Amino acid sequence: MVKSALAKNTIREILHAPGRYLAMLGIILLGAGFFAGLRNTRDSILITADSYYREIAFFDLQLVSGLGFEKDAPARILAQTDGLSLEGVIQADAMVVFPDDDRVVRFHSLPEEINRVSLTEGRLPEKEDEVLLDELLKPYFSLGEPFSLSSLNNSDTWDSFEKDEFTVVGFCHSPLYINYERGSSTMGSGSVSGFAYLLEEAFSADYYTSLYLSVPTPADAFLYSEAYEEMVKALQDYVKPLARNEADRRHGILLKAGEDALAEGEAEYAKGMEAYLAEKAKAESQLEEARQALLEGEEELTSGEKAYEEGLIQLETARAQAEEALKSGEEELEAALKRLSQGEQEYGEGLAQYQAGEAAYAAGLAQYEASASSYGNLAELYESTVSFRNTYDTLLQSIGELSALYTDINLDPNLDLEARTKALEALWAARREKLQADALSLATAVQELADRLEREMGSSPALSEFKAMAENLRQTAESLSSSEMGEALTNLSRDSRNLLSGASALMKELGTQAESAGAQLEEARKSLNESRKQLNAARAKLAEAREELDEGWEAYFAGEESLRVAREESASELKKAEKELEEAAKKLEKGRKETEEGRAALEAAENEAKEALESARLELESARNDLDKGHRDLAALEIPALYLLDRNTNVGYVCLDNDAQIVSSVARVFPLFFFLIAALICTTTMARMVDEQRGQLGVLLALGYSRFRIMGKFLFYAGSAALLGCGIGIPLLSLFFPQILWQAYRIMYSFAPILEFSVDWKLLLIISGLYLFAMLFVTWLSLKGQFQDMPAAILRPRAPKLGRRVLLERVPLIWKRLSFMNKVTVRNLFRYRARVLMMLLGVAGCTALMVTGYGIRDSVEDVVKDQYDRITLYEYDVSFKDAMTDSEQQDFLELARRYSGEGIFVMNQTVSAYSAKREKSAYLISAAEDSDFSAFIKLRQGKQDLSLPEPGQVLINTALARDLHLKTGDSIHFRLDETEYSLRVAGIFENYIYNFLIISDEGYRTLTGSEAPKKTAFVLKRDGVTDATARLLGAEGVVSVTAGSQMKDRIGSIMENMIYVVLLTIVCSAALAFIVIFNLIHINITERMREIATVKVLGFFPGETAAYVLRENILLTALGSLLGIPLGIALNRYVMQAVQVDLVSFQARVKFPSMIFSVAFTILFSLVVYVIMMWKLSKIDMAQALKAAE
Amino acid sequence: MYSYIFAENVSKTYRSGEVLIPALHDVSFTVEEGELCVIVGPSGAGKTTLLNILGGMDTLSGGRILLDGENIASFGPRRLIEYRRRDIGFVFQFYNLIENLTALENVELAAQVCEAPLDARETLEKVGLSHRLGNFPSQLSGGEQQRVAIARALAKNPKLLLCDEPTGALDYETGKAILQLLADTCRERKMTVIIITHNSALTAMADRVIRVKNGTVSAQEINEHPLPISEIEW
Repeated sequence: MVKSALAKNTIREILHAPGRYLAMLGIILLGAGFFAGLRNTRDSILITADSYYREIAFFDLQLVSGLGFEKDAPARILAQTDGLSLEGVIQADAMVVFPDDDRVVRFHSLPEEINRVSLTEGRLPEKEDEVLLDELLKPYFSLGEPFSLSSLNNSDTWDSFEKDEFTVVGFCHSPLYINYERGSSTMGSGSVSGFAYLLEEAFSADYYTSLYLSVPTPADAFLYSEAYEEMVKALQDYVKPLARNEADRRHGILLKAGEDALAEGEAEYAKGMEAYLAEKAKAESQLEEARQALLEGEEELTSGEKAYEEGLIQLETARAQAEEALKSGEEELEAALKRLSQGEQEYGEGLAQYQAGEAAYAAGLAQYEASASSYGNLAELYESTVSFRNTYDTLLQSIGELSALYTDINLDPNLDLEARTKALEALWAARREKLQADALSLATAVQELADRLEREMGSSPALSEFKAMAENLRQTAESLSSSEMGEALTNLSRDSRNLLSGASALMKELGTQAESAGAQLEEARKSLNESRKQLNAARAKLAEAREELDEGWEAYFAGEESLRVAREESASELKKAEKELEEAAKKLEKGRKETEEGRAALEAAENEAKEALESARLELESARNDLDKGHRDLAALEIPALYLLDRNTNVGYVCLDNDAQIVSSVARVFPLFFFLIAALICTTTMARMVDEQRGQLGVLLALGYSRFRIMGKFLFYAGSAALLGCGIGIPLLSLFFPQILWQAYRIMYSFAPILEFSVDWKLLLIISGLYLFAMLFVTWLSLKGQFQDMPAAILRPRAPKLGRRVLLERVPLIWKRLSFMNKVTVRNLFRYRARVLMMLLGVAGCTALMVTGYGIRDSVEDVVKDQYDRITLYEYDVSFKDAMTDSEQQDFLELARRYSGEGIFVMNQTVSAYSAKREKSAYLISAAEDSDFSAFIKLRQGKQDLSLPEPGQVLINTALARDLHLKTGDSIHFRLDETEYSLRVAGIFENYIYNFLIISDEGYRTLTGSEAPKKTAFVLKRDGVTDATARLLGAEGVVSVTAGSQMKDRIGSIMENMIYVVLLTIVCSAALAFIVIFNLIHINITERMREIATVKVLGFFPGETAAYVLRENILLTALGSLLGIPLGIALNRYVMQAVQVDLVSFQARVKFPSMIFSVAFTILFSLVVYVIMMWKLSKIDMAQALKAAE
Repeated sequence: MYSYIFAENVSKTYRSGEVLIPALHDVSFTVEEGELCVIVGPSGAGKTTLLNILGGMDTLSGGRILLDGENIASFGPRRLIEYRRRDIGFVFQFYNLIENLTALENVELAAQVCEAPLDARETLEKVGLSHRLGNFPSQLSGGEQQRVAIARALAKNPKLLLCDEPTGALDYETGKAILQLLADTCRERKMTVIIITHNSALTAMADRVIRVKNGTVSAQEINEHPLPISEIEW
C-alpha cells in the first residue's frame, strides 16, 4: 500500500514533468550510445567482412611461381594433401576499348571454389566469348555490349586470348578487390581500370599463372586475428615443398618445349635467308635497266634544248635586223618629209611672193589706170576749163556790151543827167538779170569746176585762189541787184579778169601737172610691163616647183606605204617565227616533264625495292635476333622463384583492417568526454530536482516514511533514466552508427550492402553500470545533504538566497551606467554562483565537443595534401629485385629522366624502433651524402631545413619521436635484420605518413660495416606524362612501382572515411549541446518560477519578461561558448594523440572557421531553446505560480 | 447607475482534461470608485479566483466585468497585460518581492513599467520606509516587506488596488498597521481598494462587503459607517 502510492507519485513525477526526465534520458542515451556505437562499428565491419570472406571462400594462400604451374598441378597437389581446396587461375592484363579511350583491364579466369564472385547483374559466362565485368566498369559498358581488346596491345597480349572480342553478360563483385583499388600494370598508363572474368578456355595459356589455396577456417581464426596468422603460417610450411615440386616440374617442361621450338626456328630462318638473297639480285638487275633508259631520254632532251636556245637567238637577231631596216626606212621618210616640207615652205614663200608681186602689179596697174584716168580727167578738166572759157567769154561779152552801152549813154551828150540815169536804169534793169545770171552761172561753173578739180587733184594754192575768185564773182554777181551798174560792171569785169588769170594760172598748173602726170604714166606703164614679164616668169617657175613638190609628195606617200607594208610583213614573219619557237619550247617542256616523271618513278621503284629488301632484311635480322634471344633466354631460364603469398598481399584486405581501425581509434578517447559532460549535466539535474522537491521530502518525512524509502523515489527516477538511456541508446546507436558509417565506407567497399548487427553485451553492461553508478551516487549525495536538516526545516521552503551587494556596485562609475535590468542581471549572476558555473561549464563543454569534432576533421583533412605537396616530393617509389650497381643505377636514372623526371637511389629497409614501452615499425632510409635528397623528401624541423646527418646520427620524424618519447640528442634504438643498433637523434622532421629513420650512406657504412644496398629509387614526376608507371615497370630489374597518386588516393580515402566518423561525432556533439542547453535553461526557469510570475503580474510584456529571465542565460551562453574554444582545442590535442592509424600520424589542428561554427551552433541552439522558453514563459499561469507556497 | 466595477453573471470553470471544476458561477456585484471593499468567505470559496480575474491574471468563462466602463472579459492577452500594467496594483499574501533588488529597486521595478508612476522614493516614504530604501527583502521584517509590496503597487498609480490576504503572513499588530495603511491609501487617494480575507472581523472597516460562498456571491452589503481599524479587534 505504502509503496504503491509512493510509486504512483514517482511515476507521475516523470509523466507530468517529462521535460526534465526526457532531457536526462536523452543525454545519457547519446552519451552511452555514441560510445558504444563507435566502438561497435569496427566489430560490425569485421564481422561482416569475416562472414563474407568465409562465404565466398577467400583464399588463404596464393602460390606464385615465376613460370606458372602446369594445368594438372592442382590435381597433383590435392592428391597428396588432405583438407585443402586448391584451384588454378590464369590472369592476364590487356588493353581494352573503352568508350573514350583504351584502358588496362585485368582478366581472370572464372573460379569455381575459391574467391567466388558475387553476381550483381546478369549471369556468369558460359561461352568463351562471354565476359563478366567489374561493378566498377558499369558506367562504361552495359549487358550485351561488346568488350574488345584494343589494337594497342602487342602481339603477346593478343596471343594470350582465344578471342579478341567478348560480350558482356554480367557484373559482379570480386573478393580479390573488395575496395576500389585495382592495382598497377606494365601496360598503358600503368593503372588497372577494372577486372574481368572469362572462362578458363578463353585464355590461350596452357598453364596457370597462380594457384589459390583455401582451408576451411576455424571459427576462432577470426579476420586479422593472431590465431588466423598462425594458422596460415602452418599452412605455408605444409604446402611449400609440394608447390616447389610443381614449380620445378614446370620449369623442366618449358625448357624442353623451348629447345624444340628453337630448332624449328633455325631451320626456317635458313630458308628465309636464301629466298631473300635471290630476290635481292633480281631486283637489282631490273632497276639497272630502267636506269639506263632514263639516261638516254635525258640526253635527247638536252640536245633538244640546245636547238631551242639557238632558235631563240636567231629570232632575236632577225627581229633586230628588221627593226633596223624599218628604222632606217623611217628615217629616210622623215628626211624626205622634212625636205618636202621645206620645199613646200619655200614654194609657199615663192608663191606668196609671186602673189604679192601680182598684187603689187595689179595695184600698180590700178594705180596706172587711176593715174591714167586722172590724167584723162585732167585732160578733161583742161577741156572743161577751156569750156569755162566759153562761159567766161559770154560773160565778158555781156559785160563788154553792157559797158559799151553804158558808156554810150554816159557819153551821150544828148541826154541829160536824168535821162541818162533813166536810161541807165532802164538798161540796167534790162540787162542786170541776164548779167547776173551769166555771172552766176559762170561762178557756179567755176565753183563746180574748182570743186571738181579739188576733188580730183587735191587742193593747191592756185586752186584755192581760183575758188576764192569764183566766190568773189559769185558775191559780186549776187550783189548785182543792189549795186550800181557801173560799179557792178567794174566789179564784174574785175572779178572776171581775176578769174581769168586765176584760171590761166590754174590751167598752167594743170598743164604742168598733166605733163608730169603723163610722163609718170608712161614710166609706170613701162615698169608695169616689166613686172608683168617677171611675174609671168615667176609663175612659170612656181608651176614647175609645184610639180616637183607634188611629185615629191607622191614619192613620199608611196614610200610611207611601202614602209608600212614592209613593217607589217616583217612583224607577221617574226610572229610566225615566235610561234614556232613557242611550240618547240612546249615540246621541250613536255619532254622534260616526262623525263622527270620517269626519274621519279625510277626513284620510287628504287625506294620500294630498297624498302622491301630492307624490311625483308630486318625481318631476317629480327628473326635472327629472336632466335639468338631464344637461345639466350633458354640458357637463362632459371629455376623459378616460388612465393606463398597470404592475404596481406591483397590490398583490399589490408585496407579494410586499417579503415576499421580508424573508427575505433576515434572511439578510444572522444566518447569519454561525452560521458563526462553527460554525467555532469545529469547530476546537476538530479541535485536541483532534489532541492526543488524539498517540500515533498519534508512531507514524506513528516508522514513517517524512512529516509531509505524516500531516497528510493529519487534513486528510481535517476536510475531508471540511466538504465533506460543506456538500454535504448546503446543497442540503438550500436545498430545505427555502424550502418551509417558503413554507407560511407561503401563508396570504397562494396562487398556488403549492410552490416551484420552485433551488440557487445559486455560493453553495454559496463557503460550502463557506469552511468547508473554516477547517477545514483550523486542523487544519494544530494539527498544526504538535504537529510541533514530536521524534517521541520525541510518542510519549510528554503530561505531564498540572500540578496547581497555585488562587488561591482562599489564601482559607481560602471554601476551607475548600467541600466536597471542589467543591474538585476549582474546581481543574479553573482548570487547564483553554482548555477552560473554549471551553465558555463555545460555550454563550454558542448562547444568544446564540437570544436574537437571539427578539430579532428581539420587535423585529418589536410594530411594528404601536407604530406604529398610539401614533404614527399617524389612520385614514384621503385623497387628492384637486387641491389643495383652504379652503372645499373645510371642506366635506370637515364630511363627515368627520359620518361618521367630525376631520380635518386636510396636504401630502404624496414626496421623496428623501440623504447622501453613501445615498439614501432619504421623505414630506415640511407642516401648518398652528395645526393639531392631534399628534392625528394623535404626534411623540415619547424622552419629549418635539415640535411643528411653525420655518421652516428639519424633524423627521425615527429610521430616516431613522440611515440618513443625522444628529443634531439637522445639515442634511438632499433632492430635491423635481427641486429640491434642505436643512433643519436640529430633532428626531428615533420612527416605524417609512415615512420622514417634517415641516415647517409657513410653513416650506414659506419653503422653496419657494409655498403647500403640500393634496391629502391625515388623518381620525380613530370607533368603530362601518363605512362610513366608502365615505363618504369618495364625497366631492367624493376619489381614494382608505386605511384604517389595511388598512395594519395588510398590515404585520401582513409581520411574521407575518418571524416564521416567525425561528421557523426559533430552531429552527436551538437545534439548533446542542444539537450544540455535546453536542460540548463529549463532548470533556470523552473527555479525562478515565482519571480517570473511576479514580474508578469506587474504587467511586464512577454518580451520584457523573457528578457528579464533570459538576459543572464544569453550572457552565460555566449561566455560559455567562447570558453569552450580553448577547452576544445586542448581536448582536440588530446584526442588526436589517441587517434592512431598504422600509416598516418596527425597534427592536432583547429581551423578558425571550425571555431566559428562551433560557437555559432551553440548560439543557434541556445536561440532555439530561448524561443521555446519564451513560449513556455508565456504559458506560465501566474496565479498558479504565485500560489505555490500556500 | 454607473458603477466603477460592475460584475455581472461572472463564471469561471477550470478544465483539467475531461474534468470540469466550477470555481465561480453567477457572480454579480458592483464596487464604486474610492470604496474600500472587502471580499470575505471561507477557504476555497473562490475569493482568490475572483481577485485574479479582477486583476487580469485569469480569464472569465462567462459573464462580464466592467471596470470603469471597459469589459475585462473582452480583453485579449496583450490588452490584459496592459490592463495589469496600468490599471492594477496587486498585493500578495507572501509579498513576492524580488529578492535580488533593494526595497527601492523593487518599487522602481514596478514604476519602470507604467506610464505615469509616482516617485518610488516618495511612495516608500509614504509607507514609512524611508530608512529602509537600500535594504534587500531578506533584511526586512515581514511587515516591512509587505509595505514595500504595497508601495510597489501604489507606485503604479493604479485605478484599482487588489490585496489577497495581505495580512495573512503577519502578526496581529503588524497586520493592523498594514490594514490601516491600506485604508488610508483608499481615503487619501480616493483609490478603489479591494481586500480579500477569510477574517470576517475585517468587514467592519469596509465600505462594501461582498460575501462569497461556494463559488458565488451570497451577499453584498454596504457599510454606512465603516470603523477605523484601530477599533476593530479580533
